[in-house]
Amino acid sequence: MTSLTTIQKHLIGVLMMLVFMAVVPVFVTQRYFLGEIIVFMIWASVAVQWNVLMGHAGVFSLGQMLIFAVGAYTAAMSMTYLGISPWAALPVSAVVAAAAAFVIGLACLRLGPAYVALLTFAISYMVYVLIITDTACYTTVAGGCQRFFGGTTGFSRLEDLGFREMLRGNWIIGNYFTVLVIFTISLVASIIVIHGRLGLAFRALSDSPVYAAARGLNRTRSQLIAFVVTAFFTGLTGAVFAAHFRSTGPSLFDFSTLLFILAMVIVGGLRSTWGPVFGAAMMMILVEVAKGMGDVRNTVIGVVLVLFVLFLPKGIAGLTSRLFNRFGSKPANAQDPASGAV
Amino acid sequence: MDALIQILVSGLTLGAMYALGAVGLALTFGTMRMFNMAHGVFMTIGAYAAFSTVTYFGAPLLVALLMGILAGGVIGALMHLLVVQFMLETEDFEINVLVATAGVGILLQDFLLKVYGGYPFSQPVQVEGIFRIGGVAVTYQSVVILVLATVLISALAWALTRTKFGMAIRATAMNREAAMLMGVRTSRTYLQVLIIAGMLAGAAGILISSLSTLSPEMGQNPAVRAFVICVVAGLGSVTGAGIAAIALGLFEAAIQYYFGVRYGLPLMLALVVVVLIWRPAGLFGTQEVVRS
Amino acid sequence: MAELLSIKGLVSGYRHLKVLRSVDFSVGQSGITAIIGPNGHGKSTLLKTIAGLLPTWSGEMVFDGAPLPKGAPERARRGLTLVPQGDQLFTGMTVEENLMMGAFSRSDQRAVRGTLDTVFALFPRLHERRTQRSESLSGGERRMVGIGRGLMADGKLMMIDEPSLGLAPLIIEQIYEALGQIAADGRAIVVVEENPSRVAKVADRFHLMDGGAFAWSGTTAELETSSEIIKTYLGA
Repeated sequence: MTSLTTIQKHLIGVLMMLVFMAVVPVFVTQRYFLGEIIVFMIWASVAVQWNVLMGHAGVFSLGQMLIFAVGAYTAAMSMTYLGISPWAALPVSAVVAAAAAFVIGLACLRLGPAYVALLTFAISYMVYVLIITDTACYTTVAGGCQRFFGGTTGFSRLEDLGFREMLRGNWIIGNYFTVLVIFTISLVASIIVIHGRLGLAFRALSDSPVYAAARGLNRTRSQLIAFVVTAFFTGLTGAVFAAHFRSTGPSLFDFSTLLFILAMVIVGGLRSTWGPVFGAAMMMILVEVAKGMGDVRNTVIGVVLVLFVLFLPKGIAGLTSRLFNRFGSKPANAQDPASGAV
Repeated sequence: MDALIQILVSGLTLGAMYALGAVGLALTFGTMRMFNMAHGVFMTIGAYAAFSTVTYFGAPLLVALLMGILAGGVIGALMHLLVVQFMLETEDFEINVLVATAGVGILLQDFLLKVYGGYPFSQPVQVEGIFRIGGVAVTYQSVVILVLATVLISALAWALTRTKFGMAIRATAMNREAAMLMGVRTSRTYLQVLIIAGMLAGAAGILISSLSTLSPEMGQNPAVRAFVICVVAGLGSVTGAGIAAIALGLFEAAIQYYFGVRYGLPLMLALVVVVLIWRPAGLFGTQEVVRS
Repeated sequence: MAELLSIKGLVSGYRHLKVLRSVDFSVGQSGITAIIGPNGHGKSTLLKTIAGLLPTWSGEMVFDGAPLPKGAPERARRGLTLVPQGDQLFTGMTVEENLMMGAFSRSDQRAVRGTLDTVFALFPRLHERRTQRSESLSGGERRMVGIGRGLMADGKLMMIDEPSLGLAPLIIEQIYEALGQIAADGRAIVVVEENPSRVAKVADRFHLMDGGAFAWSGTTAELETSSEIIKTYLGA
């Protein structure tokens, strides 16, 4: 058999995406648009990881932005208090985010899906409240009071990624490629998880839980692994977010931001592989268009969520796979309908 | 002794409000396996409706209270009729309805922001005045909260055990298919449940905003507490939610008294996590929620 | 006299799995009809489809002179009662509350009380335990509550899915005695059982279900003479 494995096909897709995105700065030179594409790649990376966690591992976590914030805040705090460079902060933040996920996962994952959703949501909210109600000044920075976790103002004037010396006015291109690399890593990781052994384990667990258990697969353990792995890459993305914007703050905990990313996942298609990327693109475009209509971002997000869940619950990916089925050929990650009796 | 009275008074007031906020959510989950992520916004809508009735129509407080409760019921009914009922028999219902209600919630919150602005108002639907028990100052409003919550929750308990539609709700929650075999029209039952949950949320919103302020995001904090209470009680247990709410209210009052307000939620959550490790189905939970 | 229930060409199943291949079936206005056959061949599926818990893929069903409405609650209100397999009681409710739920669609409270007395007369043990929660009952008592609940609907046709499932022989005798009494009062009953020996004593008509369709139908007398065929299907 000389046909490519599923993973290889997806990795070729990643390569194509990488080439495409690498060429974009040649055509798009306005800093505003490059900045928006950077933001797109950041959110797409988060959406991709969330999709692996929710759509494939079956963990209904609403704490995705908490993990992201752990990454961003760890980067900001280690840069501010320990003086390390943003490049060093990236892996550190990823590890801390993974550790946080490990702890949260241990507490929650034994329980049913609704419990996981609520508890992660509650923990996220609790961390937010703790951050913004902390009024004690830990230290002073540039003459102002710096609260340990940043308080309501967060951290700012962080050290940048260092492209200004090399690229001068085109520093944003340096950030662009940094984010592109992180996004690519995140995407590759998600493909390996989904189409590799861990993804296989999850499909087995959901199709035949008894048989899977008999074969030694433990749902809680597998979900914990998925939680930690996706948190690593989410935290990494959070760190690069902080490095790019040179700041971070409690606005990351906004419910609207969580739903924004959730919309990307749902619009793309919850169980697909590439869905979140397209979902992210679509949501970014929608929000950009909505800016012209005044401050309707939250309404747009809400409407999109409701409409998609009602009419297109499998997202764009579901739509394209239905179209493929109608024309005969089967897409790479189509799943046969479970012929369950009773 | 004064400390004890203070904690009891604050604790029971908090507990009563939390119970009002949590019981509707527990009922919704128990009957429909549905999580209403817009629950906080339902509370906010009730609060704003009451506020508007007084501020723009000059109505008496009791009318405003009823309007707030009614507004909650209406929004609950709309949620069912326009969104939830179409999703009921689909696969992935639990996660889809979570997402859909979250979407509705943020939509409604934005609507409130556009209509009323973000500036916090004070809730006119409340009672002024203080009296003393021992050395402790007790507001009449906290008595009102306690009484109102007790009345509404008792009314719910009465409805669930003594009326036909209440029995239908309980039957549907216990065994949906069996209820259908008895002739229970489950779609109507779900509508009734969401209306009841909406009304209780509206009442809770009015009471909560009377203690703090009224703003479009005011429902988020109480909603998170309601979620946590339902989880620790065991999802679906209505009486459990009520009891857990009061217990947690007392616990939080004690924490606030000794350590300060900001530690209330974190310690409550820590307690909840410990309880769940010991009893994964919740204190009063009956469903199999532990997975291997 | 017209048939109470008349089914032609019924095809049904779960999700994508077809279970009933094409069932033709009719039930008279009174008496006990038994559906027998090995498990997994569609007996429960047939009852659930008639009751409305499973959608009909194709075929017609006419009940009491009119086509069956869609959905289980509506069919229950028309007088088509199903006592499901495994009892499916309302576990948080007492015996009496469970029985009263059976009469949910009825409005004449005095008649409902009358039916309740009939049920208690038929199953005296339930009267003793009427304020007990149903979780605390024994298997046989739960079965009685299930059947009693079905009786409370005062329907035209009562379908019972495996009344002897999981019960001790002595209790099964009692259950079937009660079923005999119910039928003697003029009710129409359909009983699904894996093993025909119990139900053979009370039923008038038999259908053997094999692979989603009826492989054999006949009266009690015919059942006795065809015991060879039956044994082939059910094993010795």
